[in-house]
Amino acid sequence: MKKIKRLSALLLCLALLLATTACGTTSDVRPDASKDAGEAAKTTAASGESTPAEPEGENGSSDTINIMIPAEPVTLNALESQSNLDEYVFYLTSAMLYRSIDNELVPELCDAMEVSEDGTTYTYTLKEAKYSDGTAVTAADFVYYMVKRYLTSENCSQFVGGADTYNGGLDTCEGIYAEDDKTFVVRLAEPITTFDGRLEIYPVNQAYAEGKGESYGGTPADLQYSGPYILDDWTVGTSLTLRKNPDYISAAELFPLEHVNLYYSGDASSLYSRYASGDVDVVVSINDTVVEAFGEENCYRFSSGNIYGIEFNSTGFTYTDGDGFVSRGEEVTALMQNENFRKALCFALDREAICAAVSPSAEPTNRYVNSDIKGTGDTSYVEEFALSEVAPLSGDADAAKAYLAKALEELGYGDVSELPAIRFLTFENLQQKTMAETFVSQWKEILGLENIEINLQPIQSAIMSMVYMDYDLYLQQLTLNPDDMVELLSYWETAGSVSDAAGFQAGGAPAMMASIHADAEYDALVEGIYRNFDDASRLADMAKAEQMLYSSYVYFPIMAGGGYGISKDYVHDFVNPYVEGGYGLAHTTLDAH
Amino acid sequence: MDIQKKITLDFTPVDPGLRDADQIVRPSVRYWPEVWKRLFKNKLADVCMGIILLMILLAVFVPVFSSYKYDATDLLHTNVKPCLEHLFGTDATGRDMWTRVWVGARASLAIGFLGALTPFVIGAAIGAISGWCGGWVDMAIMRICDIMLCIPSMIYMILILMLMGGSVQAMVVAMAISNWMGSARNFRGRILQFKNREFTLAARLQGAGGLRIVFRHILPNILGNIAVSLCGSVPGAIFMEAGMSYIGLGVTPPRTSLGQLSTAGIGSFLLPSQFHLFLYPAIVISVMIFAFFMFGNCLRDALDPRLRDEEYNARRFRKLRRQMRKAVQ
Amino acid sequence: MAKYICKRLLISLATIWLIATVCFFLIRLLPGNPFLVANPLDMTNAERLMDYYGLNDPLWEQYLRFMGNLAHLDFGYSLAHAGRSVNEVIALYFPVTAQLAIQAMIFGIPTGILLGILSSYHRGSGLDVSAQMLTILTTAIPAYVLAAVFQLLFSVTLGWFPAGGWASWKYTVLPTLCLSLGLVASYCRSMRTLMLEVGQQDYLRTARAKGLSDLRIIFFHQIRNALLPLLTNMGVEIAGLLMGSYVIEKIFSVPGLGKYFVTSINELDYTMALGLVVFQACVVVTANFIVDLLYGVVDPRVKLD
Repeated sequence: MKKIKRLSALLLCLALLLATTACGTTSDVRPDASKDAGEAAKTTAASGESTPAEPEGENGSSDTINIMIPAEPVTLNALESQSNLDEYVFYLTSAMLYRSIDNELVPELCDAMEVSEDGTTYTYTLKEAKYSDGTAVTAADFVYYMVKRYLTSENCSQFVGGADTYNGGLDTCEGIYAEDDKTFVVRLAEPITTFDGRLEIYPVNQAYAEGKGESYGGTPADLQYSGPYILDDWTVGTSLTLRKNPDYISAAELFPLEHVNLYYSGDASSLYSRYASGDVDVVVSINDTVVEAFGEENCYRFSSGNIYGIEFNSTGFTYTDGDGFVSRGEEVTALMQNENFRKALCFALDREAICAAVSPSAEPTNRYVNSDIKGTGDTSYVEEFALSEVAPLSGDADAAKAYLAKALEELGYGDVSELPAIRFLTFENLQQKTMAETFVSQWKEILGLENIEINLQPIQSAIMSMVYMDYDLYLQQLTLNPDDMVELLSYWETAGSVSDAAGFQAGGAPAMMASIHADAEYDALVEGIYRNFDDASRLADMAKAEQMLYSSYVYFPIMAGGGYGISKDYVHDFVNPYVEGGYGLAHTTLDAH
Repeated sequence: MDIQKKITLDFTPVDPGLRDADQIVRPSVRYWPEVWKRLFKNKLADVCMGIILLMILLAVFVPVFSSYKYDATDLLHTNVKPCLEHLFGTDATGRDMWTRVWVGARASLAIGFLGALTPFVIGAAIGAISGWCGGWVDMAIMRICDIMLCIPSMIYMILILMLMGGSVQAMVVAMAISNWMGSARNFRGRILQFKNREFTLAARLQGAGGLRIVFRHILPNILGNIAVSLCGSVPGAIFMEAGMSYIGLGVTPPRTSLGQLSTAGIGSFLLPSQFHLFLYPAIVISVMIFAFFMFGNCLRDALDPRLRDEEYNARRFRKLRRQMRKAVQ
Repeated sequence: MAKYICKRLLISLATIWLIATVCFFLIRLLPGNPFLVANPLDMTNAERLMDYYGLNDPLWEQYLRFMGNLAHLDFGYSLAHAGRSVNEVIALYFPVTAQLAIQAMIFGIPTGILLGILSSYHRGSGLDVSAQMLTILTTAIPAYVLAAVFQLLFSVTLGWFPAGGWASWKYTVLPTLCLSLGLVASYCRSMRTLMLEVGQQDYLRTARAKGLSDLRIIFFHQIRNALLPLLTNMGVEIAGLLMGSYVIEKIFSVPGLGKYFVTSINELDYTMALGLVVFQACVVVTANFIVDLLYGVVDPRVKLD
């Protein structure tokens, strides 16, 4: 009895001692830390310097930058990459035909391009360059990349003589070829306005990629490097470590930093902890919800190039694998095809208030473009061409109610409670979910609509439902081209991507049956824009097409997405990847800190 | 000499209180009434039961009588700090958190109760069969357990969601399918432990059947342990729903749950202006879990028949020990 | 004994095969297409990739192919992350998860058990009450809150340990602590209950009556019997820990296996998900086997046959 008592007493004492010493040190350290918040960071940096073996030993040196990236690359296989996140890394690891530097496209692997008189053939003369393993970069590498990457009927048809030449089993596109090792040629079927020849593409050596087989691009060892940096290590879920490439073709001063560490953290509050504790110098993208912790005044805002809007399934059909097109029901179809009903939903939303509440970094919009696109003169396109009959950004409840009343009258309903149930598809993402909840609640409050239910699905099944048009309303997020809006407009051609996401037309289904926005006049207008090289009339046509699209109310834009970023004040000239298209480290320097 | 006197000299008379020591003094009591009596006598159990009852009442009645609807956004009053009008403040889209928290508590309580109980009962039955029967039945059931344990529960969750939609029932079914294995293994282990005990053998010798032995003799012995782990799995079920809603598999919006509210509030943890979005759901969920947990402990003490005379209650135990010490000195 | 081991081995192999088969068919029931990502809206490309990976072939043909590859332990390449081989992912990141799990177990389980023993012995004392409080707190506070608090306290304010990443032992401290607190709590709770239960048994009274010392009774009679039921669940629990934790890995940016279990199913990455399931099955089956053997060692009444 006594023995065990003594033993436990001893243990208790030990625990107490530990606790008191721990408390002691805590109370010793705290006042210092609270006196000068920066000191804690400094001490870690100092203790790091004394042990250079650890990676944080690089902390504080002016030739290493630590960047917190928003998400990890999906794959480093450039041929199968479908994500911008991958491109941001390729920007560092691969040389490019044209490279965006400070948001300006400059030739890198070629001296200049020659354009044939008819504007269809682009000839690039390549510079001498080699991969880090000594292999020379040749024109064939670009051909291989372009063909492998873009070998789909739609994209290839831009480069060869029309879609007819494409055949499913084809391995090359005839319009993309290497004249010799140093001459790379792209021939278009006809000149189009969206192609100016300044291609941001990477060389991929066919022999190397095929030699690696399925493992190509999986790990840093399975990749050839021609860019400013070489990837030393990729620890999935944690970090990517890059060092300067001595064989990089451009001047060494272009990318002055010796080491680049890209860190990834999936959690908003640890993002803050890592920045505040001095682990990272730059945070590329801060979630809207935690920006307050960083201090909004310390952050900068950027436009993410997405617009969010609500898309209506006005076709009245859903595609199923077994039965082809299946009607969504007469009542629902009639409702979704009623323009006044769609207008009512659009006018009811107060976009300014919704934006401020749900996503402060986003800007409310009722246009399909961001404000960067230039007009004919000094003004921007958005200012020059205003749309008529738009829903005001702050909403118009009275107009919305009037439209709804008109819709009810047209459809023969006495009251909103008689309307059929409609499903609003969205996928799980806190912001999207909150947005959907807000819309539905606003419609309920302003219009008294109780029949809209949210259909929240895991991301992959949500995409499948969207592609198979298993929805009545869908919170659609579309990527904008910052310089031009014609691609966005072409989504809504009768056979465009939005209406034909599942390739229904390719499968022989009647086009009109499944097209959300079927308008022959609109199709002709958009096709014309692709071929119209006169700036003034092109922009006017664009505005006309935009107006047509807007007035049809099949998709109404709600907000242009944005984000916040932050850099420590000793970091100079870092350009956000959402702007640059890659981790913008050209000319980036760090003061000693 | 009087014979009576002689005896008094040689022997000291026995304390009259001990005269009946070999008789059963304590009145024979039936098991369940005794359990309830002991449970109600325990103050901590009363407090926990009170908290749980209060939460159930609030969850049922607050959303009914609140002047705000849980899903009605008010874009003019966003991120309002707690005040008289909005007891828990409002969220980023102006929804009243007081109402939302209690609507969420409805879903969480239902999922917590049923999501813990259903897999538990299923698992207990299967585990009991497995442990009692032994042999190839045991082998087969345990291998099925192994198989089910290795199949990621997300697969069932998604499939059930596709079939039933994101509702409380769907979550309970999903939890029943994906969680019974733990309780089955646990139960089987306990049955094995008691299967070869003397009292079991005695019962068997008296001709008791398997069912009778398991229910009448083994079950009361392990009920205490079961009560604790059952109450302990309530928070597990609540958090599982929250985790599932994180990837789009929880209760569908605009309905919500405490787990979802507290997960969503995590981002607000660092922000002074929205700290209430983190704080209140977290407090409610923590208190709820605390109550379940402590109640489980009390229930364990009440259920264990061997504790009839033993005092588990901490304060009384200490008093007892002090008295013992004094007596020794 | 040799016969028993052979029998178990055969059954284990059959179990793993069954798991692989059930999962193979279950996962293909999930709706969606692994190659459709939100951005390009391009079904044609997705179809091309489906063809390329043979996912449009009849299901039984794919199943035979999968089993053939499984026979020589080739799990193939991830569908969602081109170039990433499943074997390599396991080889690279399982050690990370295992390190964290083992550290957490080495710290958590003995601490929990010791705390449980002490608090059952000193029932009602301050130690008991604080141990109970700890178990309740760690159950009632979700892991992500605890992790965030640790980060703020130990990285931002005190600067002792990094808030995330993976390079040296320093980086393992906070995630290990977060993982092990749950273990401490659950083992402390179970051990306390079991010790009290065992304390009521007749054989302990006999031991006491024999005049054995308290220490001897606790160590040789009480603890040994109380440990038994803990062992039953330990196998599954250890296997679970070895598979990593999605939440902890995400918050501390630990390159572990845990997140793949969630993401691979969410991304419909069939090869990755199946490879991990089979790997997990192997670990669980092995852990159960070891626990069953241990059971025989600790409790002579349990016969292995």
